Amino acid sequence: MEIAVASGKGGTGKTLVATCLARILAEYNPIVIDADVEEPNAGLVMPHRVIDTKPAFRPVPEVDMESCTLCGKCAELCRFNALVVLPSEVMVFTELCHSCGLCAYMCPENAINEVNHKIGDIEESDLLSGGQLITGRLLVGEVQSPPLIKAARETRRQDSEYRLVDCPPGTTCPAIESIRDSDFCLLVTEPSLFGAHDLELSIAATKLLDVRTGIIINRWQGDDADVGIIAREQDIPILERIPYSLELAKSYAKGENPLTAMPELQVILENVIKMVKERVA
Amino acid sequence: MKELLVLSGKGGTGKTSLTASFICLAEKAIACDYDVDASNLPILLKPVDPKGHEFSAGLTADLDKDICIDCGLCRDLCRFDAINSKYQISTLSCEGCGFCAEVCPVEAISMSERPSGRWFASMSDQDGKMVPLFYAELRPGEENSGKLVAQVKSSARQKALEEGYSLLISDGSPGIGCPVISSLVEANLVVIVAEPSVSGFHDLKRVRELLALRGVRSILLINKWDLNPEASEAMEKWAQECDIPCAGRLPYSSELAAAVAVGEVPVSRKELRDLILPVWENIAKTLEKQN
Amino acid sequence: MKNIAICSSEDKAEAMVDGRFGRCSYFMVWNPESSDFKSLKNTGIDAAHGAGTGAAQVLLQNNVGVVLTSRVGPKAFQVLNSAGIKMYQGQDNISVQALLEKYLAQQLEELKQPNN
Repeated sequence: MEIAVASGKGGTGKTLVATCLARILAEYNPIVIDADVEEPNAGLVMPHRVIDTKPAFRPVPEVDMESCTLCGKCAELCRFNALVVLPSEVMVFTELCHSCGLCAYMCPENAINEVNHKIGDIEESDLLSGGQLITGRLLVGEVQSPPLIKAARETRRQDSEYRLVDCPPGTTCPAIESIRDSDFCLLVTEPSLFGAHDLELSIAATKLLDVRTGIIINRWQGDDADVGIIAREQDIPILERIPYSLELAKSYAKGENPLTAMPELQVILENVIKMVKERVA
Repeated sequence: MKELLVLSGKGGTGKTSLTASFICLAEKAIACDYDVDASNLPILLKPVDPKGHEFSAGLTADLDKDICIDCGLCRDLCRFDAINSKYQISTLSCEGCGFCAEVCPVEAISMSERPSGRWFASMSDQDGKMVPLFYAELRPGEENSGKLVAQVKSSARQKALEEGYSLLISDGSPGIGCPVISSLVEANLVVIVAEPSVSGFHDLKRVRELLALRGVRSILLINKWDLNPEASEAMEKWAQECDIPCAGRLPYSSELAAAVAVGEVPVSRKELRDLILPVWENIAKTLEKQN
Repeated sequence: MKNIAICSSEDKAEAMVDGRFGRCSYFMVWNPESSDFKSLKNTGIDAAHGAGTGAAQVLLQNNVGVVLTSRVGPKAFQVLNSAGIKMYQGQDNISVQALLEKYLAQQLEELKQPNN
């Protein structure tokens, strides 16, 4: 079973929930996939041992100037303006390229080859609590995160009954790539106007993806506020509420085990697992 | 004209509530929200009578099944798995590259503009001071290419030129990807709002790396410093080594959380204003010195 | 002789300039031999990415030797520079015609690096 842990707004506690679920499910050797490749944080709060680091690539065009006749076809076809044909050369702007392969396929002289361009690393680790951690880490300055997210999700050293995806915030391409095809999406939110606004967008995204969804309210202080209204309107269940705790925030800031700072979190998240299982079955 | 951009790397550090506060403390400024993915600044600034504009960030493929001869070429060549066995095109997966339309032997595929979202020009009334506010809403599932960020920025700068504003204060998006890179264009100074946690420090370093790569100056603001005093100290020390000035520290404040929870700009409460004003003055001074 | 392109907000010489190279709506292209303007739609503007490189490609196809613009990004600068197209620092709040006159009176400075 693959569970995506996501949220529209950043900093609502996605990583907290994903890593605590992994600790609770330790006996099943769960696999945690850190798909927040711009700012991967799961490894910072989960003790682990790195086993292997592999570079991740995407294909980009390289023009062989011996065969190129400067006909301009590639520049004309590229929708991303990644190729520019000058009077005596062809310039390739890798960061604009979407790796679609059209230029190489259509070049009348077969002068374009696709070569690997590094976008980041995939790090495979053993979690000391049990299970594995797969971390995607985007190179700083690289703009294309979805191919790296895809590569991280496709990395399979060994299989497990539980796969937990720590998703990037938001509702656009990177979030979509992280949630797509999972069995269930847990949306972590907070009971504020910001939380409710961003939750509504996230729900729209999981509906587009046709992924079953449930809500966890973090930093709950006795009132669901606008989050409750959105949940009712959109007909998405609120699975659990994690009470606000300054103690938890302080211990988490130090990278300590949240289940020690807040023992009731164990019960709350065990209940979440139970409810997700019922809904996926 | 100068632009002050507020970034954080990690989400949830208090970036938006502080941006809104700076906007209210500044004598005269235009406000921008570049977090087009999850735009929260308007929740605090409550725009009046926003004027919406449609926005398209590219193309999407349409396949005419009456013309299609089921040759499968488009499906085989599409790198994004956007065409299924029934020749249905998933707009969510389609990148708009046009490969399929180009190779289709019977021209059954055409490319059309995809509606990607909307951007808004509006005014916000802050105790009688009218603040122009520019923001946008991307549709869920769309690509955040940075083009919408560029659109918001250029509309705001246009307004500034026309009406003689000399300061833009903008709320950035989390992360270090495309939208953040777009928001850096023409920014004079970046305020990095960081939280003293293991992940906050990690993300701060990645933002700093990006800013160094792009040659943009920054100033550090530690929010909720008392959550982890040791980490706060370590961050300030690191900043000093990187030649990043510090605007100050703000404590964790339940008052601030309460204000934001009900949609109030923090500095509208006196206690919070007294807390944030000195930090703002430091930032304003540093900005003044930037070219 | 090569043409001179000016970034413009509309397709006429009386229009105000648009300082942004990649995202201006039109290029007003002035032919020094005929002293005529023609307008080119900047097709780069439609692109989600790469407005600058797209715009540069448009100019390459129209025998342009000089561009007057307020702001040009690093990628467009690289293309224009490699193609031998000279860039001169434009001004804001001025008409296309007036900016051209300043250039002809040698009052504009050459851009030696990207500034956007």
